[in-house]
Amino acid sequence: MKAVELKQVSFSYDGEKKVLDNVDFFAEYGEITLISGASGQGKSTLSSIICGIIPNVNEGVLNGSVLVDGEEMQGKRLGTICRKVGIVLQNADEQIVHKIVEDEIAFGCENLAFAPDDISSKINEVCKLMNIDPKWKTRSLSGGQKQRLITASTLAMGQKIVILDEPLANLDKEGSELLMSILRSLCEKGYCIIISEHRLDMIMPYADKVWHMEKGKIKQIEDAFSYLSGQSKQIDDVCPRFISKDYAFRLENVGFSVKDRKILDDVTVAIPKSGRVVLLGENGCGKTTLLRLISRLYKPTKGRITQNIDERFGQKNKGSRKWFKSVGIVYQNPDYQLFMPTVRAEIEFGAQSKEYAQCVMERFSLAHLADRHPHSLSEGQKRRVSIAAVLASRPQVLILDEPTVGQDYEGLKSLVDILNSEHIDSGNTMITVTHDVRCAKALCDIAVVIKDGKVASIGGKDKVDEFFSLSKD
Amino acid sequence: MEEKTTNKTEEKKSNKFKIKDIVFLAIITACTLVTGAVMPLLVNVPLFGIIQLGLGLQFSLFPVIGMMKVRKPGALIFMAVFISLFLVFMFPPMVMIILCAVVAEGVVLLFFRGYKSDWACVTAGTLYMPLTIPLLYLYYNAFYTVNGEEKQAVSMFIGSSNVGMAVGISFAVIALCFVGSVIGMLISRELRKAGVLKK
Amino acid sequence: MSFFRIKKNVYPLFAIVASIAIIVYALVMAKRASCSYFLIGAYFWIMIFGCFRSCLRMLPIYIIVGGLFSALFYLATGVASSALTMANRFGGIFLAVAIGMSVESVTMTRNLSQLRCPRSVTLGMLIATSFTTVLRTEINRVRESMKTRGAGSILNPKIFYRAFLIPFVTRLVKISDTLALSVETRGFALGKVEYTVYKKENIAFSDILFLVGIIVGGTLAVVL
Repeated sequence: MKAVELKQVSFSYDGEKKVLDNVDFFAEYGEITLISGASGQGKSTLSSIICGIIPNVNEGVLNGSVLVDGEEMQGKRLGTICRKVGIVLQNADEQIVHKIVEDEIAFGCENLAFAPDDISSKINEVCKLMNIDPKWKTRSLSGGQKQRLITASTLAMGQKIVILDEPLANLDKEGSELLMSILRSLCEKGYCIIISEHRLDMIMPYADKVWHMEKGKIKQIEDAFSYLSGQSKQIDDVCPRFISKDYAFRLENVGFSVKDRKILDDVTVAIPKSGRVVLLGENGCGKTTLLRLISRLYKPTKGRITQNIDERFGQKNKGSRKWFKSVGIVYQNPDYQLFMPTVRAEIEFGAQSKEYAQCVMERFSLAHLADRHPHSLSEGQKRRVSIAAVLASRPQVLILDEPTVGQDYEGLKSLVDILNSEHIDSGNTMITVTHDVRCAKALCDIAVVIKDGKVASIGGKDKVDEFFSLSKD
Repeated sequence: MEEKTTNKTEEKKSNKFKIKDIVFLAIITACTLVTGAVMPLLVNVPLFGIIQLGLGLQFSLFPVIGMMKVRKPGALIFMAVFISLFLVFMFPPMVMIILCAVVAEGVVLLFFRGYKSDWACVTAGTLYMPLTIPLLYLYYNAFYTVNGEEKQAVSMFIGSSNVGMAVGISFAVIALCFVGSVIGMLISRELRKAGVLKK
Repeated sequence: MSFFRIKKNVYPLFAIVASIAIIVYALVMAKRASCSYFLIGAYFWIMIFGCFRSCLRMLPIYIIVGGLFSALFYLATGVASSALTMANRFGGIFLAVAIGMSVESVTMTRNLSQLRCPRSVTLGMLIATSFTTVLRTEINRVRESMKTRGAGSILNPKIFYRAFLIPFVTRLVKISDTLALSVETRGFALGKVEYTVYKKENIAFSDILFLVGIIVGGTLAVVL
């Protein structure tokens, strides 16, 4: 019997525009099934239908047959469906309600009226499986641990069919591999795992079946290996060979600690002017802290950072308004940085001139969205607006913290091309933190590998290859 | 007749609270509480209306956003219940805020017949906090009476012996809450237009 | 240290009753010196019953705030008793907050669930209590983004509205949507549904002793 089977399923939110169109899909027990495709093609809608979010929470017109474990799910309440299918949503951080790991895992079990003794044994079982401690405080967990916690709290509910929506988005190589190997072991125990993910390079060794979604249609890929290889190839670098002349920042024995915890220690590195530096390292190694120190959001607790951008800014590590015009920072989540009522106003805010803002809008292919509210755009478009808004002030330094999270291949490629062409035109210094093997080389002249708060090695593009192949091993 | 009954059933169904409503109202409550953490400092300052002046803006702005998203009768009462579970540890008399929410919702249902209109949310947000003024006034009088010092509460509160000033402060609180409510409405309208604030 | 922690947490409903009792006693008897004795006694009493950390945490804040207001009132009136009144009133409130701080949101929620409190209330309470940390992080991130985009001072109402409130509320809505879905797909349902409580909160002898101690102490301070 198939774990999940969809027959001629169509869905529309408004009754007119079909998000899914006569979809036939299946997933089996003992297999990892991957649903791939660009953003906005209907992957999340498909997952929501299987786990009953549609039509129980998100309403719309659903036609066709949805069979879970051989049973028709249409017309069943979410409370019934969730006993059979578990879903691990994106953004684990936003889903944690309890302070202690144990309580968070118990939450789902309590709702399904498991006996307290059963809950206790389930907690121990899934904590062991997910490599987390039931007594840990949830707020002090790393991104990877939070993702494993939310997965554990779903698994504890005992469903044999588990859907994961972009589980690797915020995980480094190590964290991704750990999660994927755990999912593989679950498959061997007879679970049906369905994953919707953009980082196909990570999934490749683990997926048993691959489905491709496009414009609301889905088809099974026969030659999964060549499909996944094509979708996860590295993006080419278009920038000319970089020759270092001067430095923009020089860090000497820089350290940063919070209370007794050392986050960075003895970091000595020079960031070349007009160069592109990529910071590599596992989750929690101190990359983001390093970015914050360079951008003057934090002050080092040890050592010295010298800037060579402009004499006016001095060397006191104080971030003024003028400083942030010269040092532009783009966050992983664009929601924080967008606040104006239209895209045009957003880009004009802080821009050198209205004409230049218009020019930036065109370069980022945003001119047709100029009168839209920034928060009404898709995630990919919002990211482009946030980068465009920062670049409109013509910063000499552009700092990017995980700018590619959740991007499909095409979206990622266009983003990298824009960043590089802007770099060629303006000669800015670009510092990027990324876990994404697809774009790391294309954004790199110099790679700095951070490990346990220290600089482990520095090199060129070869260091990127070395880093990713080492973590693969 | 049948159509009317169906409409009523549908209205009843749509007025039922869903999990997403409860979650949003709870988060909005947490927000109100975080920004209203000055409460323990204000409760003992003997100034007429000081609590309401100190908390009026956030206790109108955030609840209005909650009501503008949920738009169901009882939304304000829900928030008041959540808030009072905390206020009980800071200043138990402020638990009367539940009563104020009931009155404010009653007024809105009477005049607007629900929360369909944005101004219904603004009205509820504007009335909510100012209604605590007379209740706290009564509380202090009752409490001081227990203490054997009749009407000392009245003289203790600077301005309350001067009727004009008490009325002035009350109007200032209402104005502040109105401003907070309008800001809440403007934010909600903008986010609704952007598709962020969906019902 | 473990000597002072007879029980990790007081029975949640008793904690609420004790808080109310302390505040009421402190307000009613604020002008009397016996109120101060009662509050000092209550401080050590609640410390023994598992509120050790929160009591220690509240002490410096009380000394600063209570001291400041007492000094202000002494300077304004010139009468020592008004300073004592303020010190007692703040003492009562800070003690109540210390008790509140020591009650974990999960135990309070489970206690209310055990007593068959409506699920909407228990869920709301759980989220409202656990979200203060998340909110603090969100506020910091929005403020940092304001800084990096050169939005200007948060004290400017226009900037506060545009650059702070709009992104902040957007984030709240998004967090709320994700959390609601997560809660629902983890089997939470409203209405009359079957559910269990993983760790039940039971009344222990120490809880009764704790509450009786507060009430007897307060009553003695009134009577004597």
